[in-house]
Amino acid sequence: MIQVSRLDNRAIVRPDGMEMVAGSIPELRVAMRGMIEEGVRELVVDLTDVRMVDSSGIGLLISAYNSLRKAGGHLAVIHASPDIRELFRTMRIHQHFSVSGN
Amino acid sequence: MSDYGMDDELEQEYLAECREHLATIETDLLAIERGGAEIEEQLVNHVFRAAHSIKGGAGFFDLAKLRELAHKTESALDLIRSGQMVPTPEAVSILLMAFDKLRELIGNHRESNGAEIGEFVSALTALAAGSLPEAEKSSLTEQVGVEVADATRHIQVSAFDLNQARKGGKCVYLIEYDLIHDIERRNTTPWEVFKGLMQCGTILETVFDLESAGTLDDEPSNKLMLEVLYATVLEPDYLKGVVDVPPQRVRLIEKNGAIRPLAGPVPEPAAQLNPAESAPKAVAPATVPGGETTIRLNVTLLDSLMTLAGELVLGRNQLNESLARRDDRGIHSGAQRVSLVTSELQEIVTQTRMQPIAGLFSKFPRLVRDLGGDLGKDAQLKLEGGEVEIDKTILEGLSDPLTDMVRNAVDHGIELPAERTARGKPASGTVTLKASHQAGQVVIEISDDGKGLAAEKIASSAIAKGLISREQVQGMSEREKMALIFLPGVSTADKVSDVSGRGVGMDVVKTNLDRLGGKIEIDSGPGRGSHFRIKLPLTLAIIPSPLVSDGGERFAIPQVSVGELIRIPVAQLAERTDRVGDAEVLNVRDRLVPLLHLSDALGVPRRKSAAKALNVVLVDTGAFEYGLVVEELHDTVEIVVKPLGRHMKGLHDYAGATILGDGHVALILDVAGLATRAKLTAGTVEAGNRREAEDSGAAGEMHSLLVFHNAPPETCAVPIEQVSRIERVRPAQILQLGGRRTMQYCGASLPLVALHDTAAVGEPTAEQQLVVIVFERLGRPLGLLAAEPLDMVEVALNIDAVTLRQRGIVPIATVRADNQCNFGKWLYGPEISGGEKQTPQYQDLRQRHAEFHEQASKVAQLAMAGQREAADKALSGDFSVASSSLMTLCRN
Repeated sequence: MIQVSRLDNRAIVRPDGMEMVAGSIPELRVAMRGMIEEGVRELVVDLTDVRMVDSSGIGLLISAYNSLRKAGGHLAVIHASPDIRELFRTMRIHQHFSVSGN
Repeated sequence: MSDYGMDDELEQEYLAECREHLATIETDLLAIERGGAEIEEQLVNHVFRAAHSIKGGAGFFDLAKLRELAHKTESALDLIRSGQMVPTPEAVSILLMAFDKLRELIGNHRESNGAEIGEFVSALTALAAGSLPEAEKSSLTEQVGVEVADATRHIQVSAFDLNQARKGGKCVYLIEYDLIHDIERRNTTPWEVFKGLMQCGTILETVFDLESAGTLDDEPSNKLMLEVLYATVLEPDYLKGVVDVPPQRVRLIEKNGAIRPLAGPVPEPAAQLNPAESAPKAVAPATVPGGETTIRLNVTLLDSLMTLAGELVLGRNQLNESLARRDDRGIHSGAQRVSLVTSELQEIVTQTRMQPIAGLFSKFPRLVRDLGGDLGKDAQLKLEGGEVEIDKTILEGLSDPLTDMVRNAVDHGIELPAERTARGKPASGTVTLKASHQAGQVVIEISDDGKGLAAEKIASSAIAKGLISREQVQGMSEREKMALIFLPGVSTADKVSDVSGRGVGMDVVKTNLDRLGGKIEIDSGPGRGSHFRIKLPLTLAIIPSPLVSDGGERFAIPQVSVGELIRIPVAQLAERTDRVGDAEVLNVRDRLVPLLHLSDALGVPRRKSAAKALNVVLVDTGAFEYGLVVEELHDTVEIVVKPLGRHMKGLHDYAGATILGDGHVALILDVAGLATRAKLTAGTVEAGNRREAEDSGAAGEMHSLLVFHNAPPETCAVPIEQVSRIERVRPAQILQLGGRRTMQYCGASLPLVALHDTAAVGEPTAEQQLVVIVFERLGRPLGLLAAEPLDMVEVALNIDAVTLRQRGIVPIATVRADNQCNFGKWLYGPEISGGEKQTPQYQDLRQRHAEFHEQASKVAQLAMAGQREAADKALSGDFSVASSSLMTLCRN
C-alpha cells in the first residue's frame, strides 16, 4: 500500500513495501502521476520503510523529477537509508533533488 | 579480417616512413633558411619529396586532413624550389609549424580527420599567394590552443583529478551502463554493481542521463543511461570480470587523452541513443603519443643474433645429452659453452638497443634557432659525435634534461649581440653539444661561450632561499659552490624569462639524470662560458649490482649508487657512530653520514643477536650520501633489470626486480626512494656536521694531524690533508746518491728528507719501523722519513709561536700528545660514549688535561734548551696551576 498525505500542493508519498523495485513501480507511478495532475508541485518521497531501490525505482524517481521540473515543481527524498543515500550520491542524483536521511 | 590486418600493416609502414621523413625535415629546413635566396636545390628537393610522399600515403589511407596539409606544404616548397619564393625566416617558421602539425596528425592518425588545420592551411595559402595578412600571422605564432581531451560530451572531470586517479598505474575507463538492460535484467541492483566497482577501484564521476528516464506521462523507460568514469588497476582484459556491459560501451581513456573503445565501433542502437557521440569528441592531444614501436636494425647484427641463437641450441643439446649420460665433464663444458654464448648474446642484444645520439641531437638546431629568435640573440649550435650510440631508454630519458640545458645555455649563457661585441667576443654565440665514449661510459658535453656562471652568485642565491647557511658556504670550494645550482630553487637569472630563470631548471635536470644513472659536473666562470659534462652508463638493462640481504630476503643495489662497503666491528661501534637529534650517523673519514637501517625501512624487526659487525653500504642518492645498514653483504653480480608490475609502480623503495642465479627474485632497491620515505635528507647530515662544527668552535679550529715519531722520544705531526700516501720502508731501500737520500717509489726515484736534516731533533734509529710520508710539493712527490707508530688526532690548534721556533718546524706546540698518555687514551677512547663526550664536564676535563700537557711540554722544552731558570719557574708556576686544577677536577 502507499500512504499519501496531502497539504495544498504538497504531498508526501510513503511506499510501505520493503523494496522499491520493478514489481511495485507501476502502482507508485500511477499514484504520482495522479498527484501531479491534481496540482501537487512539491512531492516528497518518504523512504522510511524502503530498504532497497533497483534500477526501475531510480527510473521512477527520475521520471517524477522530470515531470515536476516541467511543471515547475520540486522533488525531495527523505528518510533514505545510508545505503540508498550512498547509491544516490554515487550516481550524482542528489545534485538534482534533495536526498536526506533520518 | 585478414584484409584488415594487411591494411593495418601497410598503414604502420607508412606511418613509420612519415616519421622518418619528418625527422630529417627540420634540419633541412633550417639549412634552407640559412641559405636564404641562394637555393640549394638538393635540400629543397629532399623536403619537397618528403612532403610529397606523406601526401601520397595519406590519400591512399583516406586521411583527408593529413593529405590537405601535406599538399599545402608541398605547394609552398614547390614555390621555393622554383625560386618564386624566398625562404625567409617567416616562411620557414610557417613551414616548420605546418610540419609540426603533420607530425601531430600522424601521431594520432585515427583522429586526424577530425583535427583542426584551418589556420595552417590558410597561412600556407597566404604564403603561396605571397602575402600574409597580419592577423593570421599572429594566430600562427600563438601557441596552438590544445586542450587535454578528458571531457566527453557528458562527463566533465578536471585533468588534475584524472592524473591523480592514474597514479599507481591505474587505468581510467568510461563505462556506459544501461540500468535496465545491464543491471535489472541481470537480476542485480545498482547498489550491488557499484559496490563491486568500488572494491576494485574508484568511481571518479558519474553522469545520469536524466532525459533517458522520460517523465511520468511517458511509458516506463526501458533504457536508463548512466556514464561512469572508473579508475582501477585492472587492465582491459581483466575488466570484464567486474564490469558486465558490452565491450563497445567501455572505453579506455589513455594518458594522452585519446579515448579508445575496448571493442569495435558502437553498434547502431547505441549510436542513436547518444547522437553527439559521433561528433568530434576528443580534441587532438598536444603531444605525439607514445614512443616508436619499431626500430631499424643492421642486418649483420641480426645475422649474428641468429648465429648465437644457433649456438645456444647446440649448447642446450650438449647439456641435455651430458645430463642423460651423467657425464660430468660434458655438463661442465656444456655449461661453459652456454655461459660464453650468453654473454655474447647479451652484448649483441644490448647493441640492438643502441641508437645513435644524432636522432636526439637533431631536434636542437630548431630549438636554438627559435629561442635565439625569441630572445633576440644570435646563437649557433655545433653538434659533435652524433654517431655515438647509447641505449634507447637512456636516449629517450635524455631528451628533457638536454632540452633544458640547451635552453639555459641560450637564455642565460649567450649574451645579446651588442653585449658580446662590447666584450670583444664575436656577435654570434656558439653552443656546442658533444657526445663521446669514455671509459665504458657515454659523455655528453654542453658548452657555451656566454657569460658563464659566478659561483658566488649561485651561493648567495642558495643562501637567500634558505637552502644553506652562510657559514657552510664559507668552507666550500669553488666547485662545491657551483654544484649548489642543482639545489631546487636556485637561480642566477636576474629576471625570470619565459624560457627559464624560475629556478626550477637544474634540479629537475639533475633528478632526471640521476634516474638514468648519470652524473653531471660543471665547469664555469664569469666571462668564460659554461661547460657541463654528463656521464651516462651505456645501458640500463644489465647492470652490475652488489647483493645484500636483510630479513631473509636478498636485494640488489645498483653499483652506480654504491660508494663503498663498510664493515664496523662491534668494538668500534661506539666510536664511529653517534646520534644527532633522532638520527643515527656514522663517521666516515671525518664526514658524518646518516644511517638508515634497511630492516626499519622494510618494516621487519632488526636482528639484534649474533651481529658481530655492522654492515654498511654507503650509497649516493645524487643529492647526498647515506649509509644503508644491512644484515649481510654478498657478491656483486650482473643483474638483468625487470620493471615492476603496473600497480607496484607506486612503491618508490624499489627500482625494479631481477632474477638471481638460483631462480629467486630479488628486488632492486631505489636508494633515493628509500631515503625519501625515511625522511632522510641532506639536512640530517648537515645538522650533524654543523654540530660537529659547534663542538669544535668551543675549542678553536679543529685540524686533523698525522702523528708520527722521529727519534724515539720525539712526537711530531703533519696536517693530514698534505699527506698523499704513507709507505713502509726498510733501511736497505734508502739509497744515498750524491749526499741525498732517495728511494724507488712508483717506478721513479723519490727524494727523501728527514727532520734532523734541518731541525734540531734526533735521528730515527734503525730499530724503529721506518715509514716514508709522501707529500706532493710543487707537483712533485717528496718523502719525509719518519718512524712508527703512526696515529691520527683531531686537535684544536693553538699555535704557540714563541716556545719552539726553528727552521723546518712550524711552531705548533699543540701536539702536546694529550691523547698519548694513559689518561689521554682513555679520555679520547671509545669507552666514553659520544653522548658523554658532549657534556660540559667532559669538555672541561679535556680542556684542563690539554692545558696540563701543554705546560708540561713547555717545561720540558725549556729544560732541553738549557734554560734552567725559566724551566723551574714554569714548573712551579703555570705547570703546577694546570696540574692542580686537573687533579681537583678529576677528584670531582
